[in-house]
Amino acid sequence: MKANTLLRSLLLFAGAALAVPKPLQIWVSSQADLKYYEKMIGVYKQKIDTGFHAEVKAFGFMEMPDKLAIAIKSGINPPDIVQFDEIFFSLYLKGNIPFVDLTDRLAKSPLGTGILKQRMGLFTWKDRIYGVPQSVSSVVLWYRDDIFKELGIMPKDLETWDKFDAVGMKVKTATRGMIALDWSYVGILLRQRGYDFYGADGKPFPDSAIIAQTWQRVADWSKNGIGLLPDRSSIFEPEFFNSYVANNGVLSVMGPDWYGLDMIQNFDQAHKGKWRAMALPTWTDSLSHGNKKTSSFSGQGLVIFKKSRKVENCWKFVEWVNSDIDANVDRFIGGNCFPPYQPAWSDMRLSQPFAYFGNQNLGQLFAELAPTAPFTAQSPLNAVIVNFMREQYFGAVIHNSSTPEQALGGIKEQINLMMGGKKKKP
Amino acid sequence: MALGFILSLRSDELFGDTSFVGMEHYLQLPRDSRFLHALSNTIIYCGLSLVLILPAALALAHLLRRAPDRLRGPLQFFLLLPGLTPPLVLALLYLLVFNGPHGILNAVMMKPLGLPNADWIRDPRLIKISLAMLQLWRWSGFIALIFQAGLEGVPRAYFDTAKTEGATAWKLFLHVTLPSLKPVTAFVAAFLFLDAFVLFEGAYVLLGNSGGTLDAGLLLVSYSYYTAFTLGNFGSAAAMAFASLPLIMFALWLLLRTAGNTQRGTVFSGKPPRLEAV
Repeated sequence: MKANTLLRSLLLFAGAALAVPKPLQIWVSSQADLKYYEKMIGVYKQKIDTGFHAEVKAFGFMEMPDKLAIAIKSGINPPDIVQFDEIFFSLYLKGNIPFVDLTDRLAKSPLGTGILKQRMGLFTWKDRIYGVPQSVSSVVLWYRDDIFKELGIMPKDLETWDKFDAVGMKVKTATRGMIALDWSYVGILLRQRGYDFYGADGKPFPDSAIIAQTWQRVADWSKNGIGLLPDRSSIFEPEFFNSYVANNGVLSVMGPDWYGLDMIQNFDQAHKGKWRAMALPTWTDSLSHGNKKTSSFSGQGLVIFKKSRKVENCWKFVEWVNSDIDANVDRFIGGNCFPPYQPAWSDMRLSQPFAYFGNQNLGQLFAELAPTAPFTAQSPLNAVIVNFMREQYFGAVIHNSSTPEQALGGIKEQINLMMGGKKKKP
Repeated sequence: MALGFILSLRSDELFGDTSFVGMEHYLQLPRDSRFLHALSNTIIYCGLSLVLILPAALALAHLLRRAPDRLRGPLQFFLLLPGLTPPLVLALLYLLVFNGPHGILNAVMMKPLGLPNADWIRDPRLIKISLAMLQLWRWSGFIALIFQAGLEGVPRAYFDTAKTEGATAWKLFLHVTLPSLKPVTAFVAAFLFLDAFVLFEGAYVLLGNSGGTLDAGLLLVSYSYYTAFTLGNFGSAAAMAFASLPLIMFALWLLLRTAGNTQRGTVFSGKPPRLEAV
């Protein structure tokens, strides 16, 4: 009797467990994104599909790609949807791409024409699109308005990079620099000038001389004391905010929309109301094209894992969250990023003042700059080049252990060796 | 481990089917200049750790023995603390120590001496020293306690006899203390070597997922991690890990053989050390 009861209970439990559909797994890489997508799942269930079940998991920005690689390689518990940075996405371009080709779906979707063309390249390889970008990532100069006022600097004094340097030389001290330096600046400035680390075919360094010249500009900022290089050469680490920013050691930082909206807002509560954003100073030399006041850096998007058991359900959610006006507005107001979906730009809520940024109308600034953002191409070498720049060679150039030309030569040789080439004899 | 070894015999595709490549990844290693650089960095780093930690720990052990009884317990606790702290936490704390203009090390060591701030984790000439200093902080106290236990085991009679023969403190140390501690030293050297060889958390936190400026701090485990997670080459990364095994085993064999040979004529052999050198 007791055994029968136990058996019946076990069968009921097993049946109940099997009947509950396994929720879709969405992996993101920040707490801000976790809150956003959890909210969007709730809204999607209410508005579109009451049977939609999804679970969001947030991992560290650098750790999530590692976990994803293990999950994909082992086949154990991979996610269905991943919010992926375009740099890490490039890791998967050298062989069988594990993400769903969305090209045909996008062609039939409002996203196909609605997403800013310049941003579609982030998740495009060999004319096939594998992801939907979720930010414009327009780069601006985030600056401390309180220190600017104290030193008598007006944004109009920084219209060109030459003027920026002149002001920087006047205001620098042993413990304060005009700008915090970062490895990402080389790429940002390069794209602002109309170039990139690789061509449309993905091959590296088509314009080595320009890259070296641009890199030298950043190195000169350090040499002249205009720029201060944080430890670990990164403005993306919390230590940067705890030290250089907390001690008023830097007046400005170059970064995309999400840098200010997410990182500065979250890591620098002490200076609420004191940060502002302005368009980048422009290049005035003959080698730079387009007179751009912005550039781009990185950016995340949603990709769908090929082996997901509910690819269509995933796509419907991805399409909705990127095309629904309210979802786009929420992404911006929630302190995340400026959306690349152009129909959302006319929504008045994107033009509201941001209290953290001294009531500045950031939406208007990003909407003005976005159409001039440079086109971004993708390459299987993207992650590798970024890694070499960030971890090895950027610091070496700043430290005068290497010139930009030598650094580029070093990176090229490493890539050549990786591709099976032979080491050059000295 | 078996699965890892099988992985090292398969091709490097991240997604989809892989093929059997046999020893190809292993045969590539001598041609990979970064692997060779990581190997040489690791050996240098292991040597640096031993050279710094062993004398410091021995000195601390001597000081502990001479400390007043009531202070010995708290001193042992504080010396043990870094060894018990997770290496990731220590490395994060060490970022405060190594911070360029605002770091503790520059404030208490460089500035008072009138020296310019050192760039401890970006200057390629200082990176290995910084990593070794992290190990020094972590293990010198822990190893000092092991040495202290070893010193306590040396019979007083040896010291008394040597003193009677007119041995100075330095000669006592050279000809009585050191020989008696050889097996203990071999054990701690093996322990420190292994720990330094597999260092990852400290290097990852301080330098990122490769080796820092110009690969100055690129270690074998860091390079294996980079190969797996930046290049997506899991097979090659597994091969690097398994290729390190013979080196580790040889180093341990050498250390333990030294300990075996020197057990003769020490307190552990039951025979007194030879004192004619005194």
